[in-house]
Formats: sequence, structure tokens, C-alpha cells
Amino acid sequence: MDTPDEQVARIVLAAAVRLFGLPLAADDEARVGREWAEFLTDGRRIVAALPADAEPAPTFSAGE
Amino acid sequence: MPPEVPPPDTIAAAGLALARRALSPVDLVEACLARIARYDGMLRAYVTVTADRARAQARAAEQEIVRGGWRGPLHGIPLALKDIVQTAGIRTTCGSRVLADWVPGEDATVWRRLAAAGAILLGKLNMHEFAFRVPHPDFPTPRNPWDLERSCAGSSSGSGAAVAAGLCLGALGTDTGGSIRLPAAYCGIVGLKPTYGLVSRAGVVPLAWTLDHVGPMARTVEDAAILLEAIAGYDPADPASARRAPEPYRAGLGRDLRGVRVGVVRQLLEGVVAPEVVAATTGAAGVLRDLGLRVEPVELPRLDDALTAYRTIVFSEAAAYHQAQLAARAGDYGPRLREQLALGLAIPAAQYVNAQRLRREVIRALGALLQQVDILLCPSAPAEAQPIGQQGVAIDGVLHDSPVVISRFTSVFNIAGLPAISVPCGFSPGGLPLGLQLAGRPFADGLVLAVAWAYEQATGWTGRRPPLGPGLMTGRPARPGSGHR
Repeated sequence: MDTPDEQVARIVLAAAVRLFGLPLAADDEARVGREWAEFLTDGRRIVAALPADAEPAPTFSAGE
Repeated sequence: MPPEVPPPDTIAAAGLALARRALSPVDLVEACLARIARYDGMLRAYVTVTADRARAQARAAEQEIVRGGWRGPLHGIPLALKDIVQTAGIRTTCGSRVLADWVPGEDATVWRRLAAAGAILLGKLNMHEFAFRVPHPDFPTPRNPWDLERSCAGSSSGSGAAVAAGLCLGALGTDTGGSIRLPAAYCGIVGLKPTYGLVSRAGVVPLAWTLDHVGPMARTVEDAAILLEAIAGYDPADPASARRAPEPYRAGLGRDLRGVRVGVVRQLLEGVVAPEVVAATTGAAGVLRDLGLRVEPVELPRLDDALTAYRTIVFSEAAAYHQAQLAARAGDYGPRLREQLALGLAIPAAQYVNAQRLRREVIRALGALLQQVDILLCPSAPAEAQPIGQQGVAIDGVLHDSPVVISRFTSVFNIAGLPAISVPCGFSPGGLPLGLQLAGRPFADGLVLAVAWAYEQATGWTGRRPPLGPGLMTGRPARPGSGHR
């Protein structure tokens, strides 16, 4: 039984597969969709860890 | 014919012999080719061996040196490149069927610089498909020279195997989340991920633009310094290249390190990490303390945040790079990579931007820590080399199969762009090498190398060679020092 996150993740991945025209078999799509649920968790963690005024650097640099 | 007496197996020693004309580049190349012929069938380190070209370059180098035209420590030295580094006229596969027949028209900047220094190309080295997580089924997985049933890690797997087995004197790898340092640790060699922007990525096929680094893999820290000196420096062809002149990294190895502050990263000695790795790492910290460095425990700030941001960034950027090709030639990608790229395509744009925002916070926090200490010390990997095909890490009979258990040791330094090196620090009870990781401030690559060199000189772990048989592996004898088994 899929968790609510896994159900959402399967829908998102299925949409991406169609949007980008990727040939994934239906069984693989379901399995990889469940795997994608981890990115939902990551997304929440990232937002929770961000100070409100955090900005991305326009281009990444190690210090120059 | 290979020489009767095996030539030296380090760049520094061979370079000295070549400069003195005590060794011919032709003999050195033939010795390497003989070892490739003998061992690469089982190690699978090379995708392409450029034997004829190497022989021609060796003859040219010999004539130039004899005429008094010795160019420096890399003149006549046989090297090899991870097959993600473009080479004009030589196929560059990236370990994928997608590029199986691709022959670039230009050299990558890094190879152009090594060639200008007189280095000889032996061939192109095996790797994970497009440097992302898994090998393509068409490319047999390289085997670890210390135990053929064990993995070399990745993605610079062939580079690790080839250097460890003496199938070249040094190599270049790339590192997006640990892909130089992990194979170096598993194979018992030295691997340096330089500061982001120090070494040009121009002509190197990207995995994730803001995380990719090119760096040396070698038998000793001195050899890594020689290679870095040749490839570092500003390149207008790389938009991320820093406007910095390369330093004399090799000459700086023997600098006075007394009083240098070393922070031992506490979190990476806890959790999923083998007891022998903890013992080797704390033992290494003791060695540095005995050498006069100031060693103290530290907490790496925002380590979990770094890992979370890393995952979103690497999947998003890899998917963006491959998007067009993936739709057109999906069947030529390996099945697992195809799935990983699909995962990346589904990540929302806002999540990628937020990951880059969080990354900036990680960099800021690490910068503050690196005002308190000069060097960070931790393991390169949580355990010894793992069985080929196994996902994750087994410790004391328990399998930890999350990819994070390995990347938590290395990817934080990609997120922050800091220089980080893996240097051998002992062996597991099963006789497999272990790696020590040292990291420093942006562009403190010279200090990182110097601390690694001091440790190496005090312990001698890099003198050990895998038990493949006689030949090139007759360099410095092992000098067991105060390292730890």
C-alpha cells in the first residue's frame, strides 16, 4: 500500500515521464515513482532549514 | 621490449630518472603497456588503450630530452584519463553506449596542459555511466586490484584501479560527490578534489555543473601535487574558472606545519562507519598531533542540510544536461541511469532554487568553522571496498543500503567547493586499504597537500602495493610507521 507521499510521487513522476517523453515501462514507472517520494521529503527539509532571507548565489563560486 | 629492471612507479621518481637520462620514456611506456596487457583483462580499468600513439609520443619525448629539451617532471610520464575527458581524435565514451563512438575534435584544457608539460597518453579509463552512480551494462565493472571481487567505488573507478595496479603512473578523475576520493580510498591511492574553479572543466563532459571538479589521482601526495601544478590555473573557456595563478604545490609540501589547526569531524566518526575506519582516522589525528599540529574535535555545521541540498542539485543538473538526449536516445542509456535521470526531471524548479539557497547557508557555516581551524579531518569512506554489485555498505554483517551512507563523507565538500584529498591511512582486518580525508579553505589546496604529505611521510601507507605480481610495483619499500591497521 502506497503512503500518501508515494501516491503523490507516482503522479508527479508519471507526469514528468509524459512531459519529457521518456520511455519507462509501466511497472518501472510505478517503482521509480515511489522512489521519487524521497524528493518530496527532501523538498520539505530544505524549506524548513532555510532562513527567510537566504539567497542563491547568481553563479556558484568557492570564494572568488 | 620492457626493461629488465622495472622502472620507478611514481611520477616523481620516474621524472627524476628521465631528467637524468637514466631512464627512457620508451622503456617506461613499454613497461606500462606490458602491465596493461598482463593485468587489464581482469581489472577492466581501460576503455581504450592508445598504445601506438603512446609509443610515438615516447619516442618524441626521448629525442627531445636527449637534445636537452627536458620540459619538467611530467615530460615522458605515461598517464591516463577518465573517459569523460575529451581527447582529440580518440573516442570519449563517458562509459555509455550513447557516446560509444564519439571522437571529439578538441582536447579538454586539462589534457592540453598535461600534454604541453610532456605527458604521454596511455589511454582512457573506465567509469560509471556519465559519472552518475552506476556502470552501463556494456562496460564491465572495474575490479579492485587489492581484491578482484571488490568494487573500486566510483565514478572514477578505472582511474583508481589503473593507478593502484601500476597500469599508468597517474590519472585524472572527476569528482561531483566523491568520485575521485572514494575510488582513491578503496584502491589505496591518493586522490585530490581541488577547490572549485581552480582546475578547468572545459572539455570535460558535465554531470552537474556547479558540483563538478577535475583532479589528480596518483600513488603519492607528491605526484598529486605535480599533476595539480600542471593542470591548475585560469581558463577563459570555463565560466567557473577562478582568476588565480597556480601555486608551486610541490615545492610547498615540506612547509612548517607546526601550529596548524586540525578539526576532527565528530559526526563522521559516529553512526554508519566501521570501527577500523574510526581507529585509523583517530590514529591519523594522533600522528598529526605528534607532528606539532593542533588537533581538536569539531562539529561540521549543517552536514545533513548539505546532503539534502546535494541530492536535489545533482539530480536536477544531471537531468537538465541529459534531457534532450534522453528523449531522443533513451534506449542507449543504461536502465538504472535512465531511471535516475527521470527522477531528476521531476524535481520542481522551486526545489532546485531552494537547494541552492540552502547551499549558500552551508557554505557560510563552513566558512565560519574554517576560521577556527585550518584543516578538517575525517574518513574518506565509511568502510573498506565493498563487494562488486552490492548497493550500500556492510558493517559487522549489517547492510546499510542508502546511497547517503557513503556520500555523507564526501559530498559536503563538493557543495562547498572546498579542496579535499584522500590519502591512504591503513588497512582493514581483511587487508583492504582505508582512506583519510583532509579538507581546507577555498584555494588552500597547497596546505591540504602539505598536511597530507606530512602524514604520508610519517606513516608510509602509500608505499604499499596490491599483490598483483612483479613489475612496476617495486617502488619505495613499505615503511610501516605510526599508522593503524
